[in-house]
Amino acid sequence: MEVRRVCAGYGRGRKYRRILTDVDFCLYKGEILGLVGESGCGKSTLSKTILGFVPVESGQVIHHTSRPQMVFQDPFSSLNPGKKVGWILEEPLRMQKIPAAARREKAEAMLAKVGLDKSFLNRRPGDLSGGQRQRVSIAISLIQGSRLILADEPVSALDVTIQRQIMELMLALQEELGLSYLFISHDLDVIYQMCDRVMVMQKGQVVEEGDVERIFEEPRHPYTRSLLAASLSYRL
Amino acid sequence: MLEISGLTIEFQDVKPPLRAVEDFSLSMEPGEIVGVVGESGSGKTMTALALLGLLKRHAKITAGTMVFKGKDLLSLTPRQWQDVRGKEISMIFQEPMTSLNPVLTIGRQMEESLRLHTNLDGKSRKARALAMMEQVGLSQPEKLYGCYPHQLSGGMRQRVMIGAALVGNPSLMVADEPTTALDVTIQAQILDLLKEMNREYKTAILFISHDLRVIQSICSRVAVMKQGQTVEAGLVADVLSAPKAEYTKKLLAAIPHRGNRLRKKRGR
Amino acid sequence: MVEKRNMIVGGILAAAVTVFMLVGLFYTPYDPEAMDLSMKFAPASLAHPFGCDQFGRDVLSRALQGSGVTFLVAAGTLCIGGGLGTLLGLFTGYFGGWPDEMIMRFNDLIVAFPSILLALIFISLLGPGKYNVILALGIVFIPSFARIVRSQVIVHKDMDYVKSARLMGVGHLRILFVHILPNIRRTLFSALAIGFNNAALSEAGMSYLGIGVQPPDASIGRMMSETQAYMFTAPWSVLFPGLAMILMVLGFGLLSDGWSA
Repeated sequence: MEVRRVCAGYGRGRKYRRILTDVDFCLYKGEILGLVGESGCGKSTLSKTILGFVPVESGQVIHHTSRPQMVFQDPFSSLNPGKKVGWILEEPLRMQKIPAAARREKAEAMLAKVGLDKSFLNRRPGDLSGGQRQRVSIAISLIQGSRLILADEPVSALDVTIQRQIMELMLALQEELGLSYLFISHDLDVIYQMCDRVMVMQKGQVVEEGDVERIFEEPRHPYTRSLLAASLSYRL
Repeated sequence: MLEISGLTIEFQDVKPPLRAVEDFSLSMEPGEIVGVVGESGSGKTMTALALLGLLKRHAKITAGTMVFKGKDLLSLTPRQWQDVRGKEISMIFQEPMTSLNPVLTIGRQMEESLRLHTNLDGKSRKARALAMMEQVGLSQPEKLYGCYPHQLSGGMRQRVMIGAALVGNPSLMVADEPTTALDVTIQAQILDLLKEMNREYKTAILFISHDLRVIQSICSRVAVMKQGQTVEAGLVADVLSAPKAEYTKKLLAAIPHRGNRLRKKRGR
Repeated sequence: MVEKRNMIVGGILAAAVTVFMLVGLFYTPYDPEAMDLSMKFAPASLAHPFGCDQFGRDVLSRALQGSGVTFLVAAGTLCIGGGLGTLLGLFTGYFGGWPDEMIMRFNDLIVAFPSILLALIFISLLGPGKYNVILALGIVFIPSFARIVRSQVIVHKDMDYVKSARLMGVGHLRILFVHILPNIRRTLFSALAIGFNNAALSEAGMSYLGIGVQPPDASIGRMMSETQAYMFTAPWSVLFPGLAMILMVLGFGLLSDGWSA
């Protein structure tokens, strides 16, 4: 996927506020690209722009593979509370007019991939824990065969032990299916553990971009340095 | 100064009663910063609320004692609680958006505990409030005094909360995830502020968090809770370097940190 | 727990009243119009459990038939007001923009008038009679349903599950009717139950004023206005229709509380 000098924002006419300025990057096949920044820096707007929820003002987003899918931050609002997990998982397949038996089979297989057994098909999101919901969200993002996943703070709302499980699941799925992730997080340590490359974003602009080790060991931009200095890292 | 022993809290609106906290014990000396760490459902917030007499109707303390400066907190009447809360023990919360009253000015909220617990007149209250605002790092306190919470950023609101909690000079402050909703740079500033206030006023802080990284940076001792039970307690340095309980080990292993990259092979 | 108990009590009451009203549409023990002067103001007896009125008509039969008409009016009003209001609320809430702005300002205009006054205006244009009452009340009820549904849709349309559905390739109409609508059904049912009460009370009020249901149709409101002069000589002729009304309002009111909780 390529994002070419994209500017985007909200509002119409005079009320238009530009959020993203000249964002320009590539996400390669099989790569995990981290995106880090503080609240209001435009991380979420960027993912919405890539998905087409926010119109581009200038520049363009080029998808070389199928349309990307998304894993959301809040596992409590990203699943329809009124439907069963099976129904939700089957919905995209229903849109593709796949027959019922095949749908069910595929949904079951996908649940198994994310570590949930088929009894979850008949449960509602309200009966699931945060970690289980996030597993379902991942299953939904993969069921249409998309290989590019935007993950917007996918582990931020979870307890640390669950966080770790979801991170490991995402990494295992990446290797198995050759996925690419745009992994958005405010937690530098999570980014360090998960990503190959990282972009640092401030006020709608990417201020620094590079391999994870390089960014963490020798940050060049002052903002990156201040972020690293402020973040608490666990020391033995 | 504070002595909690065998504290047990049950939810009694369900059958059988659900134990939210079981046999929790903790002692605190003046000026100490003690952490309580646990994941959701561990009972850490319940413990904090019990310490302020703010438990909901269905949650009952069924066993244990809480003694604060020689006073048995469990035998206090609602009136007596009001004298303790805000004056002796104060609290700050996670969500700076909702924990300040949106229709009252910053100044008014800073002064609230002085209004309730002292005989100071309006003028000296204002002077104290302005001095405290300066202390918690709010520049131009005169200007902010008449502002409303929505005009402030998250970090500034958290500073106001800390100021309002400390203005009455309490001996204990309960801080429930005070930095969780904040950005990293603001989080670092608020933690520094708490440490500074702790040095300055000798206010003891009971610091509740799910994040061991934060606990490590601010606390001297820590209790680790899991599903209402204390699995381990001791000096932060000891617990983190040589955890005894299985759960603590698991928790430590799960903390994201830069010594351990999960991504083994790299893609392109 | 309290909500659950309310819901059960409300449900039973509402069901009983509904059955009573439905029966009244098809069956009455006597001809509700048959006068028998020998039975004038006859008190309750086995033959006439609710007694007779000033013309010797059977109060039970009239209450049954009147309730039936009231039910018809209330249900018809809900079909028009609830149905169109819900559709309007769904579309304006979901799509927003200038049509939403315009329709909502028009809504405000209608809400600014007391609903009974508006209904009166419509009746004066259309003429009285039960079908015109249904039409008038139905139109008057549209804004309140539109408003309730719209506010709920606005809450839901920004939730991540709607974005997730978009990413699944689900179209707007399906999102609206299959993904969002079922999630606001509790609010909608609650509004419908209250709406049923309001419609029935408005009908009674209008019929009491003589501009609603016209003779020979009976209706609870008309019965009460006709017999109020005999409140003390033959209290049963007013009491039983009034009681039916009270039970209905209580039942649907509790039901609405239960749903909204």
